[in-house]
Amino acid sequence: MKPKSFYIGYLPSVPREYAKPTWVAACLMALFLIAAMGMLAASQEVADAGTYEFGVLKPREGFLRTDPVPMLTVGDQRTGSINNYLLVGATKEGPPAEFLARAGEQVRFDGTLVRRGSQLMLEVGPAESWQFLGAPSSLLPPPKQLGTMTLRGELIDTKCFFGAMRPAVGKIHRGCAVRCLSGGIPPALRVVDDAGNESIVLLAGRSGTPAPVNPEWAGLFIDATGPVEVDGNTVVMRLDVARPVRK
Amino acid sequence: MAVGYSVVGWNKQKRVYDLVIAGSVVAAVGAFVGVTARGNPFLTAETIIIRATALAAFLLLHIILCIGPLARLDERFLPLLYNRRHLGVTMFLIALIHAAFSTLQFHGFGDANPLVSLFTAYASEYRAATGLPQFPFEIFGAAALVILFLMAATSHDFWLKNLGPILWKRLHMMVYAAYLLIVLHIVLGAMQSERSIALPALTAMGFAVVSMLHLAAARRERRADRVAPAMAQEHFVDVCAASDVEEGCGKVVAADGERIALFRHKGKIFALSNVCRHQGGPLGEGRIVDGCATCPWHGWNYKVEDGTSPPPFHEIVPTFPVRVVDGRVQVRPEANPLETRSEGAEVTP
Repeated sequence: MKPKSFYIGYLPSVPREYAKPTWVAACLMALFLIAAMGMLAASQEVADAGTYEFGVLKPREGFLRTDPVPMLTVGDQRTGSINNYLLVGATKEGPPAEFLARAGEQVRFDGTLVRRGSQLMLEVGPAESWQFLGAPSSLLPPPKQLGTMTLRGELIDTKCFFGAMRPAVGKIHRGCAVRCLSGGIPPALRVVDDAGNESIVLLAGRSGTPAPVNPEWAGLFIDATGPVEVDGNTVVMRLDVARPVRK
Repeated sequence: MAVGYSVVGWNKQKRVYDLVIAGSVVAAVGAFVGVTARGNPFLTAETIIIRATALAAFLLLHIILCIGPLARLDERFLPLLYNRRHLGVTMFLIALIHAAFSTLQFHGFGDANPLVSLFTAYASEYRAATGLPQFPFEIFGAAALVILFLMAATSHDFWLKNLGPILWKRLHMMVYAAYLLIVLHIVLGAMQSERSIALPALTAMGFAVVSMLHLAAARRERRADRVAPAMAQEHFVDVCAASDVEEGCGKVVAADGERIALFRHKGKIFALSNVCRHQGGPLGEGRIVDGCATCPWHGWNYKVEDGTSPPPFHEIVPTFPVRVVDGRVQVRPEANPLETRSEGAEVTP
């Protein structure tokens, strides 16, 4: 359709013949943009609940361990239960080596909580807050052995998964998970059974050594084989062998 | 047209255009954030920013790609085309926010340089260890961003002038490569994590609309090219009836594969190259303004007699020999040397 008037962009006004269809098109495009963004927002996978008390440091106390992975074990005198808090650094790294060098002692420090349900983690705060209180008065109960198993699930980094990042699984997050595992964040296996029930199995090596997994496998499904044990609120596999598999 | 350069030659049209862009983007991002906050309360703020900017940029790119063929199909949409570069720069800035947040969020604060990690975090997949769905998607997004940056950085007429219209046009045609790279970025990235059909459906629909509009515009142009020469005499090619060219208007004709712009001015027919020296716009779809053939895309002017721009401008388009025989316009498809003056062909009633 050829209009009678002629449009020149550097002139101050637009001929009416051009202005009306242009406004209609611009409004339709704006509506499309808004509607599409709203629709895509509504269609997103719902991220799992998790807590990351970013910037909040609170005093923590417990028994410092490096086996199976760096963790703080805290006994609950009221219920008699034991809670393990995995320990990590402030970013995509494990806790400071000087801090872990005092493993086997009762410690007090300021830490930031990361939590997803019963899965607990603490970011170790500044060195000025560290207090080492010597060996504890009582020994920890031994973990309950469940025997050797082969489990299939997604290899995840525990810090993001427990709540530092939401969502923290899948392809998009894979680069971040690689950096976390490579930096010393404890790896775990996210196992989902046929009924959709999710279990998190911490992956560790023998006697406090890191689990023998390639950080590049983060975000992939792997088959992991090794003895499994229940240690307080954590389930741990002493990983013998792992390999990536198709989902 | 302007002799000197300013960052933006602001006028009322540009201000309104930019306000509409800004308002639409803010409303769209607001809609995304609002709906997400209601239905997905545990999503982190960084993730919302990354997703909102990604989708806003991707959707804006569709609009940008549709404006060109839309204006070719109906010139009443030319005001959308005139300031399209503002939309392009906006889209690039939104994509840059997406890239910066994603790189910091997913690859920063670790044991490697974030930019190195971006390309190497799971580099074993480049060797297809676990198949296409796990092939790194980041590389496609980064490549698209480089193209978008080059386009945004050279969108000003200063670069058009200094790079030359051909190189500039080729560079800006890379928007289609950027679009395909972004589609790959999404297919191998977000679509591998989301189960909803909404994103794949919208991507497919967007691709279909962009493709169909381009095909429709191409078909229209091909049809015009196919107005085949009825006869050839002394190298002159019959292109149309003189009455087809209205006074004060242009008409695009094709002669031996050459697109030629015919203009009728003061009762005479003139023939110029159809390719505007500015951005290669279809000069023949323009009009006569102040005695000059005026391009519909950005209003660049050329005198119909010799193809030169009026002072102080220096752009020139070639003229073509033209005559009117028995009410039919005939053009010789070999261009005259630049600045060759033509008296035009008298149209006898």
